[in-house]
Amino acid sequence: MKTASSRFLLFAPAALLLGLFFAAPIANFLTQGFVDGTGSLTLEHAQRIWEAGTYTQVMLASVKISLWVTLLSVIVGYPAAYVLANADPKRKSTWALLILLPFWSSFLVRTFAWIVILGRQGPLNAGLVASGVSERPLDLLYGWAAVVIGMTNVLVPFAILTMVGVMERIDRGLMVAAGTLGARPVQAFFRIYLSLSMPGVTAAALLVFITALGFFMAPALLGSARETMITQLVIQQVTELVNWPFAAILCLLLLGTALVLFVVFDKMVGLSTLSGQADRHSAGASAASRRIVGALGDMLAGLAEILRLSPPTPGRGAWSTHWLAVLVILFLIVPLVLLVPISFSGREFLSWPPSDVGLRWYEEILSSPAWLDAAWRSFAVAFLTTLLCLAVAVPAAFAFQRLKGAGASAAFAAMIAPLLVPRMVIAVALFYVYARLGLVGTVAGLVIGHAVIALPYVFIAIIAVLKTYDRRLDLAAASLGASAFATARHVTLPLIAGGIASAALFAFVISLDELNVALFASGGMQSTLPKLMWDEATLRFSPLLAAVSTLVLLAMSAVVLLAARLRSAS
Amino acid sequence: MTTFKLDIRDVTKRYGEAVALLPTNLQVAQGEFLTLLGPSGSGKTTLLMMIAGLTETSGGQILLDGRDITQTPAYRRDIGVVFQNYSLFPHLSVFENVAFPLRMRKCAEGQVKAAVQRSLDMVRLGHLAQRLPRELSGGQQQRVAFARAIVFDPQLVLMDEPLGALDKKLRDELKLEIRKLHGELKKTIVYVTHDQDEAMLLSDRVCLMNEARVEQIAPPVALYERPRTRFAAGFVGESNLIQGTVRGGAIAVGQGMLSTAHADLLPVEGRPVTVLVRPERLRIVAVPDAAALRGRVVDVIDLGAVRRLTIAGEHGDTLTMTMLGGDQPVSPGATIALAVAANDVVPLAEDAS
Ligand SMILES: Nc1ncnc2c1ncn2[C@@H]1O[C@H](COP(=O)(O)OP(=O)(O)O)[C@@H](O)[C@H]1O
Ligand SMILES: [Mg+2]
Repeated sequence: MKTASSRFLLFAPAALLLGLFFAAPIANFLTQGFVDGTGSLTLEHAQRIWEAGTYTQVMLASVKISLWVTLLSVIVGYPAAYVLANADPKRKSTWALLILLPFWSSFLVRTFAWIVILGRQGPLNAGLVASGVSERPLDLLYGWAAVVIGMTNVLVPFAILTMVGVMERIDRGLMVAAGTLGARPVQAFFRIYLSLSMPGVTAAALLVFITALGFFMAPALLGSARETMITQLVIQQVTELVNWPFAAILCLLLLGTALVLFVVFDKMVGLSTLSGQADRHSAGASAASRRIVGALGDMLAGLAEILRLSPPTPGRGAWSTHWLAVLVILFLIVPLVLLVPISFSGREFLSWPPSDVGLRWYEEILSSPAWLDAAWRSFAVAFLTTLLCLAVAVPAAFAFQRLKGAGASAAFAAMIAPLLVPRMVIAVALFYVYARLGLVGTVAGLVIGHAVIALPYVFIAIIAVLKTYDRRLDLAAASLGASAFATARHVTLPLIAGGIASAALFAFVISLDELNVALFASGGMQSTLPKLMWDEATLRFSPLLAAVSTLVLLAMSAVVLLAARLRSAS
Repeated sequence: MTTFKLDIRDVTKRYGEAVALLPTNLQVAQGEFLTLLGPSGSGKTTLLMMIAGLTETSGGQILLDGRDITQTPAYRRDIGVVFQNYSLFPHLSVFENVAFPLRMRKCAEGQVKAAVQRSLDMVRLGHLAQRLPRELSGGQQQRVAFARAIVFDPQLVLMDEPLGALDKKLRDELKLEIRKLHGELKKTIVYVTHDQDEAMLLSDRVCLMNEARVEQIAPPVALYERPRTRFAAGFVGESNLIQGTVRGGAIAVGQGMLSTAHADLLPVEGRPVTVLVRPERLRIVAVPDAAALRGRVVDVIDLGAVRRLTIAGEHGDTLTMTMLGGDQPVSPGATIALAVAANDVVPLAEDAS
């Protein structure tokens, strides 16, 4: 018999990891914002931040940029999510792979790609000049538009995957039924589909917004001083000014914004939508907004009718949506592809088209101890992170499955909490305690940090598999004489192996791409690949980084394709 | 010439090489209740979906009130459809679900209210208008789906196994309700089912389908009394199929001779033929004459009200016979003689293949 205490034991590793290296460090760090040198409480720091004015300005600017990025990501992602969710099974895996490849490829690499594309010597300017649209190369880089485009590009796949989860549960028969009741396709879309997909849209918007708010790579590499975001100030406070109280208050601002949004979201839509699970509030949009959206749909349908855009026969008319989705995927993939030719350039600086083609940069990387060392460390850390995540998340997921009601909600919220906290906050808080635990500059420090960040993804992936697993098979095994251990080993685990593999993939790739933790905790010596790339890029973007990016892309694609192959084989 | 409400002319559907529906002709009169009956995969849904405009035809024409609607999109066909899984909009209340087709037709708010209320009252759900679909039982959801399909006074109502997802008791109840509503509404209804009881109870005519084509179209009783093929005889009701040879306008079966009132359906003299005799049309006769079959009782199942005998016929086939209970008992092993009225001996065509 499973008892409460054994269930508690299964949660113990997760509780230990999240307690010691998530909750406690964050609490410890954040209180620094409200204590003075003698350790007594004070509002002095908060007051100074308020009075300085620049901090609140940067916060407002960050929110503004994040809102734009959110809006664009959801709008751009929607058609792709729609096509992915409604594709017939044969095409679906192709669409999924095309969207997943950019999703899995490095944040940093994708940001680099925009430096190349938008640069004065980049392909876009080359095209503009060659076609005569502009006489001189334009300053496309280092501005608001570059930051918003770069961030949107990185976050669209997030939006797509979040929305797909909800869209896949929309019964396609409903649109058919709406047709027989007199709704034109456009009307049916606005009145039925859009309403029902609203929880997914809201969830996507929330995730994108909170992730965007914690971004520092895109604004630092693609923006000017005016696009400085709040996380950049946090880095500055920690690494340059060593002003922990200010860093703590800025992080609190960031965290507070995120938490308020989550609470509002949970009240309106339900947190569980994030995992693509229960639809406690599947009613979706409110009656008022539904009426507005419905009227909009009627208007568009009328317009389409006048313009004769309406599909004349049933079953057609998906083409325009498909083309939109293809455009979205091109927007996601082309920047990555453009890095490849650049990496073969023999010049010191970026130029388009690449000239003096050769393997110069690859030779430099492969003969550089610093790069090889960082690469080796990154893979080792990613591997260890994966092991740690599985060891913690698998037992917790099994225990979670048996929970019901309030207990389940609380456990779920606790397990995905690191997802709700901007990574920068986690990284700075860990740095604050690592300094005293002697974990700065150690592989252990990196692994623990990465595991905390990857844990929610792994947990959600595993409970998703367990949901589809028929528990009666366990009962059958038990009735045939298998012990609990034997059941797990011979029946349960083999059946959920595919799901566990994709969960492991999450952990591996997230760790491989994680920069926040390494930014502080690598201590300068124990550099990871993203950290080294970041250090290079902040100095100057050379074709060397394009070559590194190409190698990273190759490695990540290999991992993703291998995992896809493994999953379809099992 | 009268125009039919629905006129299906040579309508066919192919999926690549596979044929889901061979060229089919079917006419439905105003106010008629027509059932498409047939085993799973026989093309019923395909035909219904083409009428609704939800599947493209591969050929042929569909006329509604004499108007060709083959190329008309579903939303302009003015045909109400009740789906097997109801397809109620989960985010809209019962009221809004039923109001949906009226809103699509830009009806005035007052009209919408009145029509929705009337429709819901008709299916006895007026009091649940504000609920969400998931707060209703399966039977109630089914009735909302029906109300939604008729509220806009469609030309035609199509129903695809609307009771398929319900348990037997509820099905029996709703069957009677649909029959009553058809009587009140006088709507033309095309109804799909694979359940012969449903077809018999509801229909003015049954269109029996098999392997992508129409097997026979007839009123329920006619389909039972005079099926044309082995398939039709076997699919509707219980049947004894007796092999014989045509001899002088009658059928020689072993030692006996069966005469038939349907001699026009017999093949030429000397050819083998299969005839249908329904189990309840067999009678035990005390004095055997030429027009009788002989056999030995193998098994007797007494259900009180009726009694079912399994008889090994002398001619070789096994016969089933049902008779009212309560008469003098028949015991297994007894040899009996059986007679059947000429009108109840129905020669069958070989199945078209
Ligand atoms: N979308 C489709 N693609 C290919 N074959 C189909 C499709 N839909 C139906 N069919 C085939 O058409 C035949 C008739 O199907 P259907 O009309 O659904 O039968 P019924 O409703 O009588 O059970 C079946 O053999 C089915 O496999
Ligand atoms: Mg069917």
